[in-house]
Amino acid sequence: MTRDFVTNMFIPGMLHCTTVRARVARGRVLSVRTPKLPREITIITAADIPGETSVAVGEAEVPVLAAEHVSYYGEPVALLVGPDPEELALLAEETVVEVDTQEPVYEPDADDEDHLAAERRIEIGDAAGELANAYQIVQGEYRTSAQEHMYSEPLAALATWEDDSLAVYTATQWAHHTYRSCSSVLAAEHHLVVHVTPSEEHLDGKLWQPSLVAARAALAAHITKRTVRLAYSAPEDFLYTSKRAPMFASYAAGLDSEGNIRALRIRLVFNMGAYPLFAQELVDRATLAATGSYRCRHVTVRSTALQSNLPPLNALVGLGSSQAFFALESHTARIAELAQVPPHIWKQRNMRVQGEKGITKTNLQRSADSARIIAETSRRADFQRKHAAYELQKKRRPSFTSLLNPSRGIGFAFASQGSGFVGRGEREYPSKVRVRVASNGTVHLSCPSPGTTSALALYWRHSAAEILSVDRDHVIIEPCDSTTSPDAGPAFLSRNITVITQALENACKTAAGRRRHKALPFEVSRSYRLPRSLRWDQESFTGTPFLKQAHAAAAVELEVDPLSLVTRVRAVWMTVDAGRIINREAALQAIERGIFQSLGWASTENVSYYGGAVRYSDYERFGPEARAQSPELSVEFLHVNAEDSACGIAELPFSCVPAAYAAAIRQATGTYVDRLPVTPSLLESYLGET
Amino acid sequence: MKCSFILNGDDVSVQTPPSTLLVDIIRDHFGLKTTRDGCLQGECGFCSVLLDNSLALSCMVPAFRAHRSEVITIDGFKQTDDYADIDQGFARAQFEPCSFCFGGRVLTAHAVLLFNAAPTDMELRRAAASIRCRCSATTRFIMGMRYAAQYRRERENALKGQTGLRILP
Repeated sequence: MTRDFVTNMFIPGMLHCTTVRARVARGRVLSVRTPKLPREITIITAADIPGETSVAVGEAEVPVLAAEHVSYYGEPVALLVGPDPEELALLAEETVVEVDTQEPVYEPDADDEDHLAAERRIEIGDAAGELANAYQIVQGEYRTSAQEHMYSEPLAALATWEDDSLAVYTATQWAHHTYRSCSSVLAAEHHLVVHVTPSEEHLDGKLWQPSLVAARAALAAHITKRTVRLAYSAPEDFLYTSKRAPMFASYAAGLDSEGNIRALRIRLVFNMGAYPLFAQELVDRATLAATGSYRCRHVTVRSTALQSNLPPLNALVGLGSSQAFFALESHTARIAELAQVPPHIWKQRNMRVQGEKGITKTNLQRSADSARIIAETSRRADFQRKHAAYELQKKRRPSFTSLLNPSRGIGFAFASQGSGFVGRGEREYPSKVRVRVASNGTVHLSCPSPGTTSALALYWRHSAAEILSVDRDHVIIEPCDSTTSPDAGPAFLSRNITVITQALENACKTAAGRRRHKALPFEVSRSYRLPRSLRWDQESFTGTPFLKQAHAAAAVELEVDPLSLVTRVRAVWMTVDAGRIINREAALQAIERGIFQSLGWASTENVSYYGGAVRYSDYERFGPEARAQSPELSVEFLHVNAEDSACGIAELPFSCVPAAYAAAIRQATGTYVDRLPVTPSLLESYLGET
Repeated sequence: MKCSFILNGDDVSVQTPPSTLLVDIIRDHFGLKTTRDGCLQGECGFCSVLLDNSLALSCMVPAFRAHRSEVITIDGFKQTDDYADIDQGFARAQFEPCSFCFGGRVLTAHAVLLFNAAPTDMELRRAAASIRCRCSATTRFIMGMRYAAQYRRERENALKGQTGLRILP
């Protein structure tokens, strides 16, 4: 079958599947009562699952269908399978899930041990003592909201019978996880193949959720012995699937008389909803981002991930660090303002330089030339002049609300992005690739990982062609499926560009050596090996946390209309230091795309909850203002070195643009912005307070 | 009802309830899957078609409205000279939308140019906001539409020049 989008696939006689969801956020399931079902409609509950009733993601598990307990509003309890999707939708509406309701917890207390999913504590020096003796203490609290992925095709899976096998088609970032999930749910009763379909821009929303949807579709196909498609509608996807985990942060910085940081006390709290998947990875990444690249000898950081009765909340283009960078950079902007130093100058003064150790007690990596990144961004944005001019305007005007014309502001932020899992986390996930040289000389790269961008796929072809001295047209990337492709782990945290690319190049080099003395065809399999230099101690949280790190600074200039409080972004400048850039145009487009996606998070993309459910009005209002923004974009790459290994950059706009945006709003309106998104109604409430 | 209309230049008819959505007719009866069924609520713009030469969201058009009208989907539009302008404009702006929103973006750009051969910044921004897809930067889409407008004007001026008329740019 052609690998099209699942929603485009049609097989004669195909059945459809609709999800029956709980209408309370927490409780014990008593019964599922359907209206009288026509003969052609089948209802499936957890009792019908022949194998495992949950899908394992790392150490956590998510039920395929809630059996005894429901943990969030909208949790799937049953499936209805039949020929007519409209009839199924009506029947699902009329189906009653009777639940013995328990008191749900949507926002657990930050210190509530009962809801603790993961924690990381760091203590370096004597932060409490230094804070007590500080010349000045600056405190602030920051919040970021959930963010919706809003990927092109909603979650969908199609399970069909091909010969004696059950073939499952879905757009996933982790094909072998989908395979293992379906296989364990069906108790390995069938020969199973998972085919990866196109996903386009997924923003990490198709990491583990497709495995659940695929497992449900496979279960329905197993029970009905027919082809079954389970496709969420766009609103259903918005209301009930995973989003970026929201964060609360509290910062206290002890300063010396010149406004430099002497001590930091940081508390980060993430709400991960009902199923806190990758919770430890999230808190570890957030902890690393919490102090950024700033020099500070006395630090206390406590990061926690909490379980609640909201729908699952975890990854969106990275995991945890963008939220922490928003808090850090907003706090440093506040410190710079109080110290009456332009933010870029304050950052340059307080950045660690080569040789200075951070919270993981390791030196900065060679390529991290923070001062140059900051200087370059500032120069291109004409930041110093604009910042001074807008500051003067702010001081001279009576108040923002008395203005008639839009008021301008400019903000600045700096952030980093680590590629791969923290520390030796890479060891827990496979990274296997395979190169096959066919008898006609063509080279087949067994699709190392799903979700590969066309630019990266092109690079892999070019690289393999160069190493094996063959024509580029003779290098073929095989489509990804669970039978023929090796298990390369999740296409997540820029693993494709770092781990998988290196494994692939090593396999090609081995193949090039073997080709001289080995008859065709032959194949070479390789897994990524962590470099010996990557020393990491998870217990003490010391060592080199990432395989590679990229750094960036952003300046955002905007204007706010004092009457409508609508913000118009005039320009965004970003400077990125990511070592080797594989494909400049693709990298540029990734950063530009990220700038827009992060501006949406910063400005209008609100996701709020009422009674544990996402408000439908948020779906209807989702982001048109952000899409109508057309700021001037200027992106520059530093240290473009062909000898360096490549690293991920997609997370960088999310880590520095929102903080720069909030700082610019502060300058334009004169009010501190401590949460995302900065909607006109939020501004109105803040301006009302002032 | 028997719904008859012109689809991409061909006379077609289909027996369907009058409330059936045009997007379902296009996709399910005629197999034109590049017209995507996105949100089915008129929000995302993925299902855009030209209905009697105006941009329409086919998920908002019932069969009885499509009856006796002319429908052009992205598949049909790609065969026209008008598409060539937009294709060139997008390429010059290095704007590469994903395959999910591609049709919606192309037809939206065409609709903007039909309305105003030299679209204003506000018109372009409104058009850009009408497609709910995160695959690319809005600035590139706007730049692509601007270049497309330029190519369209040049082509139309050239055509007018052949007939002895001269249109000022």
